[in-house]
Amino acid sequence: MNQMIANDTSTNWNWRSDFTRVPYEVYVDQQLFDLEQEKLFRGPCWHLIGLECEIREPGDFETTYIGTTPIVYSRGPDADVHAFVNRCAHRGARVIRELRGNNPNPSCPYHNWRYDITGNLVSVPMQKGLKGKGGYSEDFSKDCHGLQRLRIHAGVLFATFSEEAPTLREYLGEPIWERIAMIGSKPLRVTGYQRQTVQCNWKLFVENNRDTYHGPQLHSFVPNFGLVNPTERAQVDVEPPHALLTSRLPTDEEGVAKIPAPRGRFELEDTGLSQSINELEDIQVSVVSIFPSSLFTCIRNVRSCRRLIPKDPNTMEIEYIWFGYEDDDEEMREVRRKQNNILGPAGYVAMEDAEVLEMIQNGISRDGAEGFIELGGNGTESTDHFNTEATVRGFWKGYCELMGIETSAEAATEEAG
Amino acid sequence: MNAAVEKFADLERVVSRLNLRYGMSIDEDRLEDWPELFVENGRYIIDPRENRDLGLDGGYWMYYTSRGMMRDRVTALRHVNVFNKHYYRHLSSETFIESVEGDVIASRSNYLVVETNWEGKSQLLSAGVYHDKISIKDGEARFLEKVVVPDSFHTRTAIISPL
Ligand SMILES: [Fe+2]
Repeated sequence: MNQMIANDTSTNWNWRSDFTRVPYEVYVDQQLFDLEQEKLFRGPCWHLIGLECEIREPGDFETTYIGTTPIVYSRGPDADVHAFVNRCAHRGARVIRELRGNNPNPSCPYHNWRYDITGNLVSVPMQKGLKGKGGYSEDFSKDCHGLQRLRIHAGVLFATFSEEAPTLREYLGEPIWERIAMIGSKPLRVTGYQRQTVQCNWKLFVENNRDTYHGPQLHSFVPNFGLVNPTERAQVDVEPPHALLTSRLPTDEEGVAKIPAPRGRFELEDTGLSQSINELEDIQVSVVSIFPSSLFTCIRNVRSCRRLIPKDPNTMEIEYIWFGYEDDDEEMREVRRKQNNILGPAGYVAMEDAEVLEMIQNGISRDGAEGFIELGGNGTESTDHFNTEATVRGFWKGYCELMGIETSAEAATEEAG
Repeated sequence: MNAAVEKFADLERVVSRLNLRYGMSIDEDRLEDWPELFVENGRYIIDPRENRDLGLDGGYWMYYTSRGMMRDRVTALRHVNVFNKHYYRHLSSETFIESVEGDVIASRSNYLVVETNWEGKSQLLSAGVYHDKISIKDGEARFLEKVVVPDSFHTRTAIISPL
């Protein structure tokens, strides 16, 4: 039983140290939500915030969030890339009030503090008062009142609030670092954005995206229309707290990928949806789930960054950035467009995830009940199959460590007995 | 009324009526009728306003380039996909005819879609514009192309049925 003591968020969850249970209360608890902002989103984690190709010209900016904090990423005058908090250093109003644009000198509407697009404070009205009266004291320095800056990593853009966070490469680990480098190895081109609110806790969505168990169960569109290739080779790399899911085409002796003819209960009347072009060596599916909440996915020819934005314990938003490459020809663009019918808010597959996660969220009552996560045993090791929930256990392992939540082996044996 | 004005008013009625039939086929759960309002190689596209304004050519919510793709959607919704029971209610405005070339009409109308969930609670799902290309042959109007452009480019939960 989970008897949560409300005034101490980090202990008393009676959490099993093998992470085979998750107390449902963690999806609705406001205190825990606030602690997540501090320990994860503003803590020593890196967050995928966008793509460098979105901000080409000096003065270009894009906006998003890290956790609940609004941020801006931008191109400075010397082609340098920056990220800062979108909150005036004076009274906290949003300085930038568009999703994107070009503005070398954004200013806050409230008292007209002016900044440059790298976050420096440039001018302050009445700094010296008017006619010798009022104003700021002599020791007021604009250098001390810029917009709060983040550490940033260029290319596929990552940012962190933390000086203690390791380098991005150390944070991600070699397999994920290499996968991202491989996908970003030629110039990227953004093809579209999508935005969606889902009435569920953000952690449910992260678990869902690395959950290799639910795919063929929930998403029956894929097997029913024969879009599944049973000969693909699956690989789950659990790198707690991250996860890397890969599915590769089998190849013959000459290294030519083999694609069997589709077989299912139904036949597509228009097979445009199932046409794909081999472009990432033999990789058909690549899901990079970066702790806490970033996703970088390739499903056949569809590529996206997904930014997960927690709003409150019961609400999250998804911002998708869909992309291809600068050198895509019209045929490739059309293939990506058609395959995209699988994903996004109306997608054959993705719409089911949103519906199911909301059904979990609105079924939670704080009665001590727990989720059960034992497919593939109780470990977090990598596997050459998808029939495991090791990645989900890996998430909770990283989560409890960074959140400072105590776990106990007794909790495990007690329940088992 | 002179003949030209009368002809124009007729076209407006024809287009409005086609949009009415479109909305009702979905609202009344006659999804199978929806693809039949299109010509064989007709296109049904939902292009959220953010992308359209930026001139981006991907990121569509739905991108169906044939009646076959629309029929596949209907098959999937009827037999395969998992989602909660819901009702859509379409309201489309009067039609603005942009151009008439031969038997092809280009028009715009505004729309609202209200969604009612399985517990009977209604909410606005989407507001936007239909950009339609319609052909009239043998007295019958069909969509050559329907591009739905939601102003509501941030949507909630899921778009299950056509907007
Ligand atoms: Fe899923």
